[in-house]
Amino acid sequence: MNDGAILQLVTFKLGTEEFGVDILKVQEINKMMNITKIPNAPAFIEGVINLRGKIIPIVDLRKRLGFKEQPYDKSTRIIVVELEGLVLGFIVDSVSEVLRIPENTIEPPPSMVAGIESEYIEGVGKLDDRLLILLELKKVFSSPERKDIESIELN
Amino acid sequence: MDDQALQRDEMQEIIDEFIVESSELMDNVIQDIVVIEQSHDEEVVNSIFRAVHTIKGTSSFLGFNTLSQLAHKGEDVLGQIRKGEMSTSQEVADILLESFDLMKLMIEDIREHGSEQQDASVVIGKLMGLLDPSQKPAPQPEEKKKIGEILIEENIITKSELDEVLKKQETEKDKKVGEIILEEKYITETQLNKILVKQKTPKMEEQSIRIDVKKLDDLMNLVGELVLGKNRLILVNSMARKGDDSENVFDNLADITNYIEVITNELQLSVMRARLVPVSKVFNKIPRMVRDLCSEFKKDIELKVEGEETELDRSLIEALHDPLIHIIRNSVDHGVELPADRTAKGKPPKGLLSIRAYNEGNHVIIEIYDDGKGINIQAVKDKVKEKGLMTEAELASLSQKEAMNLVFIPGLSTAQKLSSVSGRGVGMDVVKTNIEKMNGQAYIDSEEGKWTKLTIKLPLTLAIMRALIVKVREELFAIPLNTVTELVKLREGLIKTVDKNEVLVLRNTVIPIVDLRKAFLFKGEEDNSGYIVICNIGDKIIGIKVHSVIGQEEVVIKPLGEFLKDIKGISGATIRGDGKVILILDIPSVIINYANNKKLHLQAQPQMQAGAMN
Repeated sequence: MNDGAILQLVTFKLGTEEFGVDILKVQEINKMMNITKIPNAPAFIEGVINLRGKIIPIVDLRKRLGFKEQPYDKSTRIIVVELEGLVLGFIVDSVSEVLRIPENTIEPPPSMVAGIESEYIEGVGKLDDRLLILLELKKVFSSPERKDIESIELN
Repeated sequence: MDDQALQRDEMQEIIDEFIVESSELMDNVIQDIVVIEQSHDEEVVNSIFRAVHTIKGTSSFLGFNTLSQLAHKGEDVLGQIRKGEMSTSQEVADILLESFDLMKLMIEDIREHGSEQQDASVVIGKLMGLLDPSQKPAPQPEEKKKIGEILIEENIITKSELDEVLKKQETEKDKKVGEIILEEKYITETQLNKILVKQKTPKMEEQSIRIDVKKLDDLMNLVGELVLGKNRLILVNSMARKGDDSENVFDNLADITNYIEVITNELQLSVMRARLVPVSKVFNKIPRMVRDLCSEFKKDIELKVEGEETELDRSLIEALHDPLIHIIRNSVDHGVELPADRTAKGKPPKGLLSIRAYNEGNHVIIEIYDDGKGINIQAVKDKVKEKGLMTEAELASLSQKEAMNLVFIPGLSTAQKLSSVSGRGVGMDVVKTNIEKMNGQAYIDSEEGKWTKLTIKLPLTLAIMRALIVKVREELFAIPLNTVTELVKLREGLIKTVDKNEVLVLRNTVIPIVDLRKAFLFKGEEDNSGYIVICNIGDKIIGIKVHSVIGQEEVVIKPLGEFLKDIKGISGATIRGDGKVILILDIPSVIINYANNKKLHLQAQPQMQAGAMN
């Protein structure tokens, strides 16, 4: 390998697709727990959980990325991340492993990947025969709907 | 090295102490000046003199020379007043207040930056002018941060845009810069309001409070007992592990649970009590403010303040500051009339503004009363109609009191002309939302031409409250108990439908019903079993339909966080004993939410309505 820095990623699965997020952003990984639904919340917000006395919002990544919904099972996990001081969790089908890949194997996203609009994708990592989608967490969790609503109210 | 660091720490400690002490002294002094301006009281003059003297001494010892010089000149003037060589005319009081305000700013600077950042020469010049009238300085223009400057600092507009606006202001003299900027659509109204608030309040938050040693000792005792309880728990745990005879373990566990419950309850109370601060912290600033406002608007007002010793939670006191100031400004500016107008109306020329705080159960009530011109209900209604917020029929169905409380609707101001302190149309709704944020309530009562009374009802503390836990479908919710007045068990036929709205007739009062299931758009069939929780908000009564009632519980309020903070109908969440999160209902917004949904529904499907009639 040449000059490339090494990225450490937590990889997880939604359906058959494999995704990765920067390990530094991940605070912890939990088994599925009791989620309290929130009425009137944006649709992709599944609810809130009690994480050792702190209340954090939970996003269903399947809903957020437009995958078909599927009942939770034993391998369902909640990945808790910290984004600019905001702690929140998202639900994935299963967590696979921690991967180290050189940064230079990551390519910019093609226009359509797995039916997800490419704005949520930071890049695509190639590993032997697999493809790994790197999620742009900030975009995934900013809510465009809310911005729309705010601009309507101002006019 | 270590020695130096140690010394620096010690020095910092002394400076911190000086900051706390001198800000308290300054607050008192400013109040006292207003007192001696009214009537000369030797005792009060002496106490002001002593306070300023103390600040002078300590600040020069600590090397804050500008502050010390200013205090020194102030002391000279006070010395003359003490000897009776100078009378406390309004001019003298103005200059003294100005210099004490500056000293407060300097103390604030020392807290933040470690040194004074203000220039005292202008004020010192004025003080010298008092001591020796021949040296009176030429009046200097007032320096206040201009709104344009703030906007540029916040990167909302550019310098060139501001210049354009200022040019425009030349031609339209009576308009404020903010208004022009708004017209030109550089910023939105919400942004402007935020900036205006920033312009008004230079920031004041206390980082430390003084606490009675007795209260601390009580806390320590309780914590000690808690540790004992913990030890006993550990013991029972090891007993259980060893497989001790189970009955013994259970007995012990029940005993300890009881013990810990008692102690945590008391601990909670003590901590709450330690956080309580008398409302005088905010009330003290009122006399000075009313005095300044009176001279600005040429009003003559007698101020009565009662119940300063009433205690409230520290965080509430801070949050109360802005709304209270706003209300008082409103009263002075729009409420109380000019002396000449008052005489013409047959009222005494001197207006009355009375502020009263008192406890009522677990609440603190603050009343702001003025004997001014009251609320013109018709004007309020016209305005609401003009803005298209309600229809004629809706307005006609309101009671007098309900109509009066329309002043809390956002964007409503009945004042004919704007002034620098109030009347921007952002007033009362902000007051109300701020107070509701603290789980409080605000309502207004008035008799036109005679008086206005604004009542604020606040809980004693913010973080913990009693709530009624209810069940709607499978979800649990907490309803703040302070809003709940009673529970009604539902029977067949108890709920009637009036004009498509469900109502409950209880002892001859018609109470509209909010069905949480609908308000939150839960799916599922309608059923008419369960309970109605009757809630009282201001003078509004509503019933909330729930499936079952679990009971009363003391809940610790947790915020939902940045991501979910604007969810309608929910004010926060709490964690129950089993670790499950339940949501706390925000009753006022549940009502608004429900009303909006209904409106949409009616507009969307008028034919459905006709169908349902058959």
